[in-house]
Amino acid sequence: MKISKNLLQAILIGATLGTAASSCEMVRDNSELVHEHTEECDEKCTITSTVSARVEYDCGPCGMG
Amino acid sequence: MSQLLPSIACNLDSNILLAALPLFSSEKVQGIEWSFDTLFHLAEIPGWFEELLQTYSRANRLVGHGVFFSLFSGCWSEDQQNWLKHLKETSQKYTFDHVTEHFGFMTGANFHDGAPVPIPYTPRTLELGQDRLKRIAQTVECPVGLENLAFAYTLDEVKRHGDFLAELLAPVNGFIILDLHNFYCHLHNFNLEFETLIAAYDLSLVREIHISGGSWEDSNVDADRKVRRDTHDDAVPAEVFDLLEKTIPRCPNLKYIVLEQLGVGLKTEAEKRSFQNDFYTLEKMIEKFNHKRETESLNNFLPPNFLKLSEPFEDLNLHQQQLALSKIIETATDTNHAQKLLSDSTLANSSWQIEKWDPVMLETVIQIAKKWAKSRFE
Repeated sequence: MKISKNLLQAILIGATLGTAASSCEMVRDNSELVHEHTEECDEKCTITSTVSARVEYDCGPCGMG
Repeated sequence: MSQLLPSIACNLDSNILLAALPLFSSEKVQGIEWSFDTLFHLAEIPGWFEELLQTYSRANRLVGHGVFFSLFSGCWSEDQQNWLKHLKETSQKYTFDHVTEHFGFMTGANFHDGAPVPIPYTPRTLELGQDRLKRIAQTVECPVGLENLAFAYTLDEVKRHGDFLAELLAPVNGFIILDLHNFYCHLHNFNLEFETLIAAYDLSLVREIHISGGSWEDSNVDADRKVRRDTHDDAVPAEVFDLLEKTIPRCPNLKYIVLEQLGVGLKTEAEKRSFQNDFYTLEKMIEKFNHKRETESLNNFLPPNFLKLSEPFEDLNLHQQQLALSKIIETATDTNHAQKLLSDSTLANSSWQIEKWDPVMLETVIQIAKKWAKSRFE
């Protein structure tokens, strides 16, 4: 399934900034970055911000058994 | 038969997202499964993650996988009521192609803690589970499913699990997520043959399959035994891909095959590549089967329009037994101690049939419960 380039870019930035955190290392960091439109973004780009993936994560899908 | 969609379990986790990024970029991921209740305490989901969810939602390729409802808790709780409220709001924001939960009740004193463990298969637990599934179905108005559990205390329980799932799901026209790694755990831990165990499931009810990896645990109770655990922290074993190949053609209503792996198992570049390779293996296998699957699914698994519901069903005796069991498995010093505490509890000589529990599996459930209790206090 097709994912827009600007969304892929935003995921990369959000996830990279959050590399210190994993599902089992709960860190809350909702620091928000302004998403700057680039040539990669299409005209309909609706993304306005990039928030790091370093967020509190309840570890739910951790292997259940 | 509908076309099969190679999918991934995708949550707000840096390692998972970075491992999945090349798969997203190459347009390989046909569906995502999101554990919508794991961000319960998060005020706001990052915009880019929301956009990812919306992309799949708009294509009707987003499925919700609940973790914390605790379907078989004997008492109806405010937390469950809130969980349904949260699900209602979430399902108004996103279009879920279906919503699922886990079998069992959560150990741990609080709602968001613990791991799901089995309950006795009785008419009362059946009524309890059906009541809860109806509430979920009424909330989301889309197909509702339940995942087979990885853990069991006895061989008899493993053999009856498929039938009990089918009975539970019947009132909501629900479906089974057949987790093949959980199935693999059962095959190994109870020394069963594939054909024997697969015959215990109504495979026309399977709409989703999970594949994942796990780990081996040595037993102190029986040094000759190793227990397979569903820890989701490693690549998919070849044996699970073999199970998948044998199972797919038997599931006429199958739609999603979801690759699950935890972020903790995806820290290194090699682990991320291994995850991507597992996905490519899955995709290749699906491609082979999709050529033969041309007709639509015979069951859309939509729940009936009218589901009769009154006050939530409760079983206070079951609730007390669940509290006692949770306390025992979280605090027992070893398996012998747990057996002593169990035999002195209200679970003795009851439908729990603790007298028949495999001591190695009791040892395992103690390890599972302690792992979760430990993570609670860290």
